[in-house]
Amino acid sequence: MSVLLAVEDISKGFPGVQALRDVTFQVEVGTIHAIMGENGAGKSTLMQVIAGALRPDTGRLIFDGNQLQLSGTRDAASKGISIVFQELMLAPNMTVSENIFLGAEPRIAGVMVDRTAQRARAQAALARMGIDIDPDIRLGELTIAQQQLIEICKSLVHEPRLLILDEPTSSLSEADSLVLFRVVHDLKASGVTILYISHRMREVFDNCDYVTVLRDGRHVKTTRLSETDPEEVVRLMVGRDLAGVQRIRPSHDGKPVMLSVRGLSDGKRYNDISFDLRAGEIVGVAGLIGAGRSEMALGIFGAPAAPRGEIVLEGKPVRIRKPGDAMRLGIGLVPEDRKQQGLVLGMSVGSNLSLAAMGLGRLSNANFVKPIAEGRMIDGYVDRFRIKTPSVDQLVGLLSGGNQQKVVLAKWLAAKPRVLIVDEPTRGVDVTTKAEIYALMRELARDGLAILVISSDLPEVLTISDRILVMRSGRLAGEIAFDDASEERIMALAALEHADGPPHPAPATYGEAEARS
Amino acid sequence: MSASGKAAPAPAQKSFLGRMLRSRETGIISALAIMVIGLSFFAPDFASPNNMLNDARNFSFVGIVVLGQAMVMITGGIDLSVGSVWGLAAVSSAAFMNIGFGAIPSCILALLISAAIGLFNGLCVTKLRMPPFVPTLATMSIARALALVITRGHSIDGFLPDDSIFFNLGGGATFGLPNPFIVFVVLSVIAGLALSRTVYGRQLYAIGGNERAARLTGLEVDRLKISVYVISAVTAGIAGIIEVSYLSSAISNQGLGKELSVIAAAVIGGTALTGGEGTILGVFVGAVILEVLRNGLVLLGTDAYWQGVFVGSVIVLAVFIDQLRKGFWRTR
Repeated sequence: MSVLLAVEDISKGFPGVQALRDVTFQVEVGTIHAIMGENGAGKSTLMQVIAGALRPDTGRLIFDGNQLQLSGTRDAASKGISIVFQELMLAPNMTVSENIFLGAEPRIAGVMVDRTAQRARAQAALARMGIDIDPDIRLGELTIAQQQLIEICKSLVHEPRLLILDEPTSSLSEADSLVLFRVVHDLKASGVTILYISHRMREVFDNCDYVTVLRDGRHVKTTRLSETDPEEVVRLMVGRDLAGVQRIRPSHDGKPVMLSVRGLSDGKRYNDISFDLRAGEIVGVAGLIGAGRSEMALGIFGAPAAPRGEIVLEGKPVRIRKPGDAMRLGIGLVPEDRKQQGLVLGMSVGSNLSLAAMGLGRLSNANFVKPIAEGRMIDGYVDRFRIKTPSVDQLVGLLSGGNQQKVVLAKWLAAKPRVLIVDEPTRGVDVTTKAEIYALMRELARDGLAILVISSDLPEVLTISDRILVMRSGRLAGEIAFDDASEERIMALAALEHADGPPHPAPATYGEAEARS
Repeated sequence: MSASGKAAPAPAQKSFLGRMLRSRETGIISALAIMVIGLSFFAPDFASPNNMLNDARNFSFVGIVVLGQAMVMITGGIDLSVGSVWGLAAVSSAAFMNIGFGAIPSCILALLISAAIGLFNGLCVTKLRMPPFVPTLATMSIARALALVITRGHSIDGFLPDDSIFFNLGGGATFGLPNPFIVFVVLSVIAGLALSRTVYGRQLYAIGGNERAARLTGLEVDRLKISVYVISAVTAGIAGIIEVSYLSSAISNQGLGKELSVIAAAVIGGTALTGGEGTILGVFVGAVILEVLRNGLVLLGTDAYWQGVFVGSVIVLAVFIDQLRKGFWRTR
């Protein structure tokens, strides 16, 4: 095998932080090469250096035998290196074909967009990737998974030899990820080399050939995945053995039912949802992206309220019209997207943390904030959750993803709920913080909190849940008891009737394969 | 990202000097101080007590309205109708007095009319989900037209309320300070406390920072937003009434174009048009700077036609400096 890219002694510093120190490794032609490391390990910085978005302070990049001098991502793209960023960089108001050729439109006489050619070429590009999507459809009408594929399609316009994928599956469910991997494997077969950043261990072991582990900006190891195992990779990433989070058998017989949901429907995205949640119980909700899990949770929380169905709290039917009602009844919701829905990024850690409790009239007297009580409460949670922040006055937007997630959790716990719904508790959070968040949730359940966890991360649902509800196309497909729980059972329930569902890029074979295995 | 959190020097942030330098107000207060010192030097008339008191009266009208505007802008909105509401409140208070109502009932009625317009703006923004620009642009036109309907283009000046207290409000002075200035200071203190010390204020910042998150945190977003439009309209009404009291007459184009001065003062004072940022101290100083600049240019004998160029430049400069401060003091 020959080397496509050699990274030699790359260092990159930002004011106050050395992001990369003397990173050296090689990427072989035609392989899928995973880059792993905790948040802040320097993965993204390294990828941006390789893709020309950042200039290294020292070191060289040797691409295909020649030293690279990149002036920007455009330059890198013209030399055969494309990057797909974690956040989608697409315009939802434009069509699929317009998005694919954004900035690289085929032209007539240099000024007018050649729409016919653009459309034909987009169709060809989609067909090459084996995706059945109408190039004239508006991008905003596609699912997130489909948009992710369009993003990859867009990066392929420049016919890259090296494609960098920065956490492409972080907002995809397992089944949607399979489609993405099929495309990635096709690309590999056609000779494209892929650098793949992910936090999902299993995904990496199932699909990649090599892994490079970074820690604190340093290169730790590059190895064939066949010569290592997940435990070793975690150890390399964290720099120590991580106390694995064990499954714990539930023992909540005789604990009272805290929340009962009966026949909850909005008529569109979720229908006839009924379940019970006991005090001290952690119930997982699994399912594909778009199965209606988050919408159902928001329906319980009154944002917006479900038009039909009954919610019973500790035996009493309650009426929840808006989030304020749910909060007064002791229901909290940690939303899926912490930046869009969970936090006010321009406000301090402290103000974010006390916002929910304050809305309930706590920490204030005749509407005047009690600064001492507030400060004490905030410090208490920062200590207990080990939130890493230079001060409570720091803007929450400047914290790392894991610490932001802890702030959202703390904000809701400060409101002293009896029922807590947590949507994607650890999305984009590194392994150490993940373990901390799981431990916290366990501790809270032990103290009697009823917790409903929505997660697209199968190992997470399995680890944390006492039992698992599975949703499919807006309905409860089934419930899996603690002893019967396995990834196969979940996927079988989540994806069984997949092909009958709304238009979706996943070919039926994947759903069936999952169901059979 | 996580690294930047660790790297920031925690102890330095706590020090008084550090906080002073980081504060957005320090910049504009120093700018004001430089302007005042410079003007006192180059235009000796500027520092005369008479001129100073006159300035204090002049910036108070716009200043009072900026308080409400700042609250609207903190929630991420904007209120373009304040100049017209100012005019409508002015002529309606005068018209009520003209037909024999007492001073106090007339003022209350004029403020209620203002509040109604604010309520209309608020309802359009929240219940009808209109971008704030639209309903406030509409009421800017509507309120100005209503003022014209009331006056029919003439001035109202024959009114004589039962006592002279009304004229004292705008024209008089207490402890040597002009009454409008005292009203401005009192309202500023109230607004400042409301924004910095109350749950209400905290919630306004949260809405401006991230409305979706605020909604999902159970805040009564609609009610809070309506309240700021009502407050903004009422502050415009107060300014209009005090101006009538000062001028002893009312015409339909009072407050014409003032929405621009008000928004300019708010922006100079560090209020973000995108919401979530701004302080009362900042907009107070912003209003003062705007008037000192205008007055200073006159005293320095600048061509009046050029004034707008200076005011515009100051707006851009103030925002530019604010961006620099953010870029410099916040590690990214």
